[in-house]
Amino acid sequence: MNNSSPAKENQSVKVDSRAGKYLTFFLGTEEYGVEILKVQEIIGRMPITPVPLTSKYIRGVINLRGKIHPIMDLKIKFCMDETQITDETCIIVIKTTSMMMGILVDKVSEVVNIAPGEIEDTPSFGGDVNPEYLLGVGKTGGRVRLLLDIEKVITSADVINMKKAAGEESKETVA
Amino acid sequence: MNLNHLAISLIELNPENISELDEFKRNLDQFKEQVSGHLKDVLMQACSEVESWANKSLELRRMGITHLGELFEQIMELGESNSQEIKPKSSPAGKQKKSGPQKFTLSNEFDADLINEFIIENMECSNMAESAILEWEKNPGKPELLNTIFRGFHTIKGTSSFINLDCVKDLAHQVESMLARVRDGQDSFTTNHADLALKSLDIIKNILERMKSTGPGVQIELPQGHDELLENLKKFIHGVREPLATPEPPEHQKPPEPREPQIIYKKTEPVAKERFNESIAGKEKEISEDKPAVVISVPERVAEATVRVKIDRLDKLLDTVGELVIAQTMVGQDELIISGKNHELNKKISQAGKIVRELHDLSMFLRMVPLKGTFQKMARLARDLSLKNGKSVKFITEGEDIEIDRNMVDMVADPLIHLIRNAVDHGIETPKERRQAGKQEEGRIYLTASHAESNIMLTVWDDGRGMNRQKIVEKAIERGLIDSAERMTDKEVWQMVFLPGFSTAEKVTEISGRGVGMDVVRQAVESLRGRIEVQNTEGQGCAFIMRMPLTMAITDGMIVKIGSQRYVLPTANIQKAVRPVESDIHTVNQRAEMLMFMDELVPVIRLHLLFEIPDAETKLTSGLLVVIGEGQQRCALFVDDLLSQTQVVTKLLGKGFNNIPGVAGGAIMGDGTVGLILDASGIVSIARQQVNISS
Repeated sequence: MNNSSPAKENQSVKVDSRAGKYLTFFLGTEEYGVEILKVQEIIGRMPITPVPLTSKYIRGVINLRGKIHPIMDLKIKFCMDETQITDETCIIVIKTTSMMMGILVDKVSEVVNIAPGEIEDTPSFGGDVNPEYLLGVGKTGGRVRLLLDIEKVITSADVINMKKAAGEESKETVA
Repeated sequence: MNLNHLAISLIELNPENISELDEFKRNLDQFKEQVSGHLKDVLMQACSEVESWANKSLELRRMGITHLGELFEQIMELGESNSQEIKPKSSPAGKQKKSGPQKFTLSNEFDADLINEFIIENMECSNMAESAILEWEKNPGKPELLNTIFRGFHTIKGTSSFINLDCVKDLAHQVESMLARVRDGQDSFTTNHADLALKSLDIIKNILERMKSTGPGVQIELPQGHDELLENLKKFIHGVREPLATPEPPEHQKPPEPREPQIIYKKTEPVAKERFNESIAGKEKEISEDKPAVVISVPERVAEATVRVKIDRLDKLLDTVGELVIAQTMVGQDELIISGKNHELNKKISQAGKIVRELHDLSMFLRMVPLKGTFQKMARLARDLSLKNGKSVKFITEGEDIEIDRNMVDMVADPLIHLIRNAVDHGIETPKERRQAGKQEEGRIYLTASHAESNIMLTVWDDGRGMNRQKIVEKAIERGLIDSAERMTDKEVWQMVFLPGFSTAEKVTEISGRGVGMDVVRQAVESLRGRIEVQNTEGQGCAFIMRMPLTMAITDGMIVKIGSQRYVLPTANIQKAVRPVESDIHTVNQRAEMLMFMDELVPVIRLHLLFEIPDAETKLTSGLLVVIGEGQQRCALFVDDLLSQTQVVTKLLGKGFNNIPGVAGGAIMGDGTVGLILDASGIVSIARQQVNISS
């Protein structure tokens, strides 16, 4: 693969491993992508049961054909405003080696093939998203997509809100 | 001289001619020296067999030759499939045997599935043999039991030699030899026999466990005491043997029975069950030449035909059936149906509904397994403990066929182990004490299981000295748990042994005679959503009665409403629900709210604050207080309302998303959404932490 794309600007092996098919979606106005191989399915909005004492970005749990899966609000995780549920809101069910989790997104866009040369390294500044969660930036068809390292995003989730569980937050309300 | 030559000379052998026999034996001996490993063992067997012919009748010699012929056939087949073994001194089995006695390696030629099958099967055999040994100890006269034990060891031996697992094979072989002597009346049964057999089973199980975690080709360390036990067995067999002068040459460990080697080394048989049956046949029919006929003539040994199914497949089936039930309910509640205009359609749907419910019930039963295995472990524990403590204990079980959820089997074992250990260590007196107390010398411990409504009731009852009220009270006062026990009923006193901090170590044990880790027992039972009670008569004995649901998969609960949220609160946790009036509520330090409940102040936990639910009822008198927990753990949960009773299937909240404090799990509710099952004790501990922090 490396040799087959000699004209492209970036040719390191690292870049190559990031190339491939991505499912893209919107969080607000920004477009993101996740590796298609990590996507189990896309489902429309459905009732989410909130789970107490969990982190704010855990919206709750859903029933997917008899199995319960947690749902993460990516926008809260990335320090944006909470996702407003609309007709276009979707849940992308992500399957990693260790867990399954749904992510709440504003709108699903498309599946694109991103060639090795179209991926740039993550700029280390700016943006809402912690650069640690990004694989890189994909530039195709004149659009910029932030490619997420979704496994890292999901597994880094501190599911249980330790502060809440220990009562530190409630302490303020009580006192 | 090679194997083929030997086989030919065997065919030509004239059983009447002693010198020919000697010649053959010499050849066999020679050949034996050239090979190693498993083949050598087989040939050793053959040699000893030939040697024994000299003393036998012509008829027996003829049969012996036939058997040897079969043996040779197997050896040769083996040689073809595994030509390495035939080549002198190149067998992997031989090498490992010599290099390190403390380690063994599974040959790479077996795939993981085969090894897995082997482990499962041998575990079953070990368990079967173990229970038979324990039974046999009580009824040494029963030959069926001995045969069962035999069969177990025999299968273990057969299958382990099939995969060249010498360490297990040798052990099983020695035990078999030992038991053979009892069976044939050369030895009479002693506890030592049972002891050695049980110890061997422990080692075998241990080896199997170790194999489980490694794959083929990995070096595995032998459990400690393996070689020692093997030596002990050999010594034991010899030791008992010496006084009984027998005509056989002394280097054999067992009486030469021609049928034995023939069965043992039937390596080419792929299915162990075959061997299993054959070994029975071998004992039932003295010697038989037409084996297939014998195998068929043996009645089916497998009482129940079973299929092993992977647990994740089973879970998937249960999930799907659960979804089907919900889908069916949704169809049934469709406007079109409820309107009642389509009578025919209604009938069809209710018919389908019945089938779905039946399917649901059936699928729930799939998870159930009998308690037998657990009870057997307890019997073994009681036996070993009583021997160790020099006490005479009769362990009686009842209801071992009662089935519980397979997830619960292991969890049930923990509290039982504690209770039985207590019963043997502290409950049952020494034989001397018992005699003085006018009791039978032999103490009794009953372990019974029975159904009680939709629960299972497990009872551990001993007829020992029971608990002493005075001592428990003293201890409780010393630990600062109570000030005085004047107004306490006996029942309340006994219940105190379950309090955390009542007992921590042996010190307490000596004083109270009871109470090692009773807190742990209570916790274990509670984690199974059960309750434990004590019935005690001083001097007469003590019974611990545990009640728990049959399955953890289904939770009986009440749906509670808090604001817009619904939660399932397990019925087992609920003591009582009260609609409070102003006078019931007391405020301490202007902050902590308490409910006056049965003359006791119970702290109120406002769930809506804990769970941060904004639209919930905030006025205590407009809502409901649900009293949960017992004793010091007692709390009143404030909820808006109790809606209805429900039965839900408990589910995990997804991988990596468990252990959320206050939440025991999730459940799919009737409308297809997820409902959360509350964990009462978790809620209490969070609330406590908060109080501690804020105060």
